[in-house]
Amino acid sequence: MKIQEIREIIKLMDQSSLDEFVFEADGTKLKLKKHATGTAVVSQPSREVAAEPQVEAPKVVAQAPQTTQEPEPQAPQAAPVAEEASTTYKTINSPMVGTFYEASSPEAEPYAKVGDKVTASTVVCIVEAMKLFNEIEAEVEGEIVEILVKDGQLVEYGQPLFSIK
Amino acid sequence: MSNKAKIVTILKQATEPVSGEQLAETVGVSRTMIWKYIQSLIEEGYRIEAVKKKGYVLQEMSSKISQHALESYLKTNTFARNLHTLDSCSSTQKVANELILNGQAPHGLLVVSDLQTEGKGRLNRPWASTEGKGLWTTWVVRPDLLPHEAPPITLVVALALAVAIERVTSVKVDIKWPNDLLIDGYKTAGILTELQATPDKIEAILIGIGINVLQTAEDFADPLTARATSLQLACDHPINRTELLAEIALELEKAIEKYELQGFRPFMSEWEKRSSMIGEKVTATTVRETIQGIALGINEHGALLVDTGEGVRALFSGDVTLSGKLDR
Repeated sequence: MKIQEIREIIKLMDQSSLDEFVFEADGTKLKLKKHATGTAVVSQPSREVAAEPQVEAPKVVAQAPQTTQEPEPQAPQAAPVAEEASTTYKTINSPMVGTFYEASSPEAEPYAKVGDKVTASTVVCIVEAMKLFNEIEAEVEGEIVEILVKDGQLVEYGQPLFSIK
Repeated sequence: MSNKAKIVTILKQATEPVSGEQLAETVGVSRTMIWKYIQSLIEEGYRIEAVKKKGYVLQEMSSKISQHALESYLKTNTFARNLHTLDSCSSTQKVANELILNGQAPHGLLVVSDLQTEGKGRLNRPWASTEGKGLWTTWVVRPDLLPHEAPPITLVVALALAVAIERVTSVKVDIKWPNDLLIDGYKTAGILTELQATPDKIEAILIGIGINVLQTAEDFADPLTARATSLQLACDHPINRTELLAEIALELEKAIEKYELQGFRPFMSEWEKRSSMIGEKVTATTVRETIQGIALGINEHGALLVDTGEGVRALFSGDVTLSGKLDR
């Protein structure tokens, strides 16, 4: 991703009502967050890492590394990384802008939890906008390793919702 | 058009009695068959008078919704041309879903039921549906759109519905963002839409529309339904549900075609004009928060723009009420 592109996105975001923006492709993850002051914080770790030929950049890079299984972006490329690095996570992305719901109603069980095995046709969540409800199917097969958004959160078109391995 | 539909159409348009012979000739069946069709129509609730030596006069349409009654009013190309009528069902959305699974749901299919036992509202809230008094419908549409273009369709449908209702009832209808129609602040109709899509293709959109048409004041005596009214309560002439349905079909067909070709922008200003919420103080409740502010309008996605005083928020979900007024 070029610096001009990031600049453009920040500009668009400043004009929009979005508080948060996450973009992920080809091992690069960009996360922008508006703070109370209105300034945006950019974190684009591991671009240099991705450029290194021998290590496939991990799909999921921790912004705030609270989970231990994800590599620290600045960590030296040592042996322990090898196993994690070989795991490429797929994501289930939102097909439209809207509100993410993990269950069909507030009382109901969530459609999917971390550790659940899914097939292409498994319903994993609902995205709703203007009372148009879209039951999202996984479209990929695997195990849910992380739910990337919170119940009731506004998600963007194309925003990753789940990581799948 | 079926023979019964032809007979109903001829009688509906006639200004004087139509003889059995004339009917037989126009429809292309024997006079005996005409007599049988007439008897069958009378059994279905049509009031048809046989004037001696002159012919038949249609005095009142049946209150029941049927293929032939609807066809006698219908001006669409595809909408409601495929009709699935039911006396009772769990919900028309469920029935439409089954028809889709069985490959029996072409673009424009209408599922209509006299009674819904499990009518669904937002977040599965129940939606009371009294037998034969409302219009409980699901329309299956398969527009040439991408999945991310689908969300404003609820607003497009609300606008079409408001136009159709106003034409039939002459009563002013107000749109409450995003999916309710109100008369004098009381809920009269609601829309709930389901999108079936793969990441890059819309398979079907199920547009669920529930309208209170013929309910009387007693039907809303229950505190749970006290925030609602019916078209008949607001309108001074009798309403025929079938005629209303045909008008809705026409407006929906026009609106969805226009949306496919031109997107949401051409709908925005008319939508804003029809919503009494715009410019007013509103309270919006979402799953995560409650916000207050002035409703400025809608954006090109159909989201409601609310100026909270600290900035403008675009709302994609939630219940919005006018602040300071009782939510009836």
